[in-house]
Amino acid sequence: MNLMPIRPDPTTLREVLRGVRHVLRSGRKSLQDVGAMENLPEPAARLARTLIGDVDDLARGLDGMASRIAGKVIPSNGSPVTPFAEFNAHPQGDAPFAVVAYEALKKAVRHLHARNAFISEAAARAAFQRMRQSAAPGQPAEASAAVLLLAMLDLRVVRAETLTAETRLKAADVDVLASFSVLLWLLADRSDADHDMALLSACELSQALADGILQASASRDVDALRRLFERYAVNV
Amino acid sequence: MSDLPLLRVALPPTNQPLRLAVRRFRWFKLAFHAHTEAAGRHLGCIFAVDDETLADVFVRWLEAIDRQNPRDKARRRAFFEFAACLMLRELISDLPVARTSEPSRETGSAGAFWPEGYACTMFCLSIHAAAMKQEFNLDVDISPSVDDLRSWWSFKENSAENRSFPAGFLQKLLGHEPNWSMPDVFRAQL
Repeated sequence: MNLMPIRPDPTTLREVLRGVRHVLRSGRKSLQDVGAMENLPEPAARLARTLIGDVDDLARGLDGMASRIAGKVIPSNGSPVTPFAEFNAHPQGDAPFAVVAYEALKKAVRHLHARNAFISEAAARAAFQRMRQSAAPGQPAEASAAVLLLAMLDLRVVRAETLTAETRLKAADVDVLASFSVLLWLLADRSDADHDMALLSACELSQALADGILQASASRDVDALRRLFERYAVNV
Repeated sequence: MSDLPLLRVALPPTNQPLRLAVRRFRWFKLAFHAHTEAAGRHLGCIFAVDDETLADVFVRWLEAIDRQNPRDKARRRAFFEFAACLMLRELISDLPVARTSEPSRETGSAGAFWPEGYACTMFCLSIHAAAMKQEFNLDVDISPSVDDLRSWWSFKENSAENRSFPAGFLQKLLGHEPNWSMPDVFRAQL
């Protein structure tokens, strides 16, 4: 009999905690947005404010707890300066790729002005595995990145909901551009000193190239996506 | 080299040759910010940079130099100079920088006349001068017309009507007579 304790898959556990956190954040945001309740007559208005305040406090507390647990469950084993080719060359490259991609996608969606987005590390890992299954031996990193991008979009690694006012993008565009930006960033040279700056640069370049990226991804044109990665990775 | 103070702005550190560093947006952006801040100090005003517009400018510039590059070693130096002219064309056509206050220093100067155009032009001249020094060990001479208010008036007026004009203006500042019918076409300058 195997008496080893059951250890949950860390990616799945993190995913569940992040899902709870996302629901709480979304719910709290929805409550804050219900400004019309302020127009209720007294004493109904006072009762509504108290109720919203209590729920808001509860959500904030749970949100903080979920954040702490999600950060503590398993230490990340990826590095933001690991080259894409290194993840690709490693037989178990999917897990560290997903950890690094998750952290980078969080920043990318903020750079792209998304206010509320859910990012799935589990889906990023599955997308990487799917890319691996279809990759030809010795396939260049840019070609792998193009296939991976489509897999990330199919598996909905990024789900942006609302955007801030100061953007020309739609929420669905953010899913594509955030994923493209992170892969472009992973293909680019970067160091401990400048990887954050490189990520911002990749996001800004992706916005400038948005028409071509969105068109190529919508038509699932792997060659066009590969050419974009090949051409612009050196410009990040 | 001319004694323009804005041509001596410290460039961001890089391990790469400038001709490659300038093709990286993270370096390009840092360099542009450093120059607009220096221009602001020089003119006594504050500039705001729109990084998303700057990225649009940068991508169009990359596409323009890739499209026009003759890939001929004999023309390398001439194209090096021309790349700066294309950079100014793209910057002026979209102006990713805007002043948030009026100049309080150097009033009456070319810079105070058109601060945004001046900041963009000094950026192109500065990067070009540094790259020419590094690649060819050459000091760049800037035409005295850089201080001539009438040149800047013409630059501003004509740029508003003709997108290619800034490329010719920079060639003039670098001491060349552009082909004014096609100042932004490299092969037309030969």
